[in-house]
Amino acid sequence: MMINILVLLITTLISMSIVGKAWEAGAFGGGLGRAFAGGSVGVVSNKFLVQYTQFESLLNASFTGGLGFVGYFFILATSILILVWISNFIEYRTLIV
Amino acid sequence: MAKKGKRYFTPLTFNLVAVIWIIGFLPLAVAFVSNVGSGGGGDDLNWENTTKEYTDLRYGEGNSPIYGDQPLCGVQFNCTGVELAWDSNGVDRTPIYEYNNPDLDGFDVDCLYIKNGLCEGSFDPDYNEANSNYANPFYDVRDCDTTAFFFQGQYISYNQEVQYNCEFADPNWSYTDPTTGYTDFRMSYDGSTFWRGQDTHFALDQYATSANVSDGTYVGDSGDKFSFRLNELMMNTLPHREMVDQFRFTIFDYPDAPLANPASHNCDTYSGWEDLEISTQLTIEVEGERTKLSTKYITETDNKFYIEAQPLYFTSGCYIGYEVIVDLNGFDTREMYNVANGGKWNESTMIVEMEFERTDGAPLGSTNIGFNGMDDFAIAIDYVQIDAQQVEFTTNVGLIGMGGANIVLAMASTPYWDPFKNFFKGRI
Repeated sequence: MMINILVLLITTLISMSIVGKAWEAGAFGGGLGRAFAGGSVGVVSNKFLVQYTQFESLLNASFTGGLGFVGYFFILATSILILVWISNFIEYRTLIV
Repeated sequence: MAKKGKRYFTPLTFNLVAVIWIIGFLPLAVAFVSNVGSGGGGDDLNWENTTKEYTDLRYGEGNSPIYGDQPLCGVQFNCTGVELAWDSNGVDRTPIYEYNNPDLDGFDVDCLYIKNGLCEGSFDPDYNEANSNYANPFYDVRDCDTTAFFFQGQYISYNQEVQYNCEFADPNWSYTDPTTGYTDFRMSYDGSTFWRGQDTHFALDQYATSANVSDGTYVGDSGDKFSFRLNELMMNTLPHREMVDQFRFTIFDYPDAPLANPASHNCDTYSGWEDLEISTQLTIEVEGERTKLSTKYITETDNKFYIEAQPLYFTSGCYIGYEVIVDLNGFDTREMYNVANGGKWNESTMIVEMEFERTDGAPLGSTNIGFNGMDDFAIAIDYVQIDAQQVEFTTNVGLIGMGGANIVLAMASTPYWDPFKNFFKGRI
């Protein structure tokens, strides 16, 4: 469950970032278009990470302790990255300031 | 030359960097680390045969099982389980058997269903081994209930003394039958030793009083999700303190009689050949605690398994069967090893879960998958070993590298540090 939330957060941030920047550049003028584009990007990137890469397996194995200390380190580092991006997005509406 | 003061690395650029990192580079790095920590495929793999190693250990190298020799867990109540046993034999079809056979006693069908290694069903308080009406308690399904009752919850073992129904496979491949030449040879094919397995269901009229059985036929399907367990004795054949890179499960439906010409399974014309997608997931159990490995491994195959002629056993032809290869990624290899307390395989059991789908989208139903039904099947289990230090080193370096890169990216995402700006400052 935690892993799903983590992957969902990552893909949500990605979609918000992409659509946000595209909107700033003049695309997706309407709210509906932005929502549709954001949802699509989120779903596609989620499917990509979960089904076509072993990213989820890595997070799972790390989280359950199967990879030892380095697994926890990877989870911690990824969590820090996500927290920083969430914080940036709330404050500056962009992932990287 | 760029104009002075123009920003090449805008927030948009950095956002692109972030996106490329997460959905581009990071998954690639994960795949790279995982594959480097895995032995990969190819024909030059050094497959070791678990079923052969165990048979050698027990009977002496190259020797055949002796007729009448029962598996380690024959009729004893204090045994620790058979080597290969069903953990789940699919969907519970007991109500259908009961409906088809209204005269059956309730306990006659209790043991048809196995879940989490336990035979579901009620305990028969009237039964005791000494007074059994059955000539050979070895075949008495009610033993299963008895032990399930006494040892409920201890699903690692104790419930598998009775070979029928609870059994998955045993090393006693054959029984002497002079009329057919079906005799006590270990069944070897293509370098592997096969064991005989009991299908998911069992013919009612072989253990219930025949007068009670009005319809002993197989109900037609057993579901699409099954699991079986390798106990500590089987796992002990894996290399101590080493990691396993791949498993191969070769399964095929053994014909009713040896040397039978599988005419109904003509390689070209038999209508039962189907393309399958088999999802396999492994679980390691140590001291009652189960840890499911992270990845489901998909095998796309058909159910057509060609076998060259083997004296006493097979005529050449196509049989129902397939190979399932589980090529563990580096993370699963390592997780499996760690869960087993650093490769102490003799203290762990492994549950192999297989889920079947037809690739044409049709329900699996009665599609033949080798072990559904109420006859026999053959199974061989092979593995490939991989150097534990190599896997640990590769995954450690990879994970530290990726984790470190994530932290650097997190720092670079804040307003307090801009590595790109500093790096390019004064240069462009």
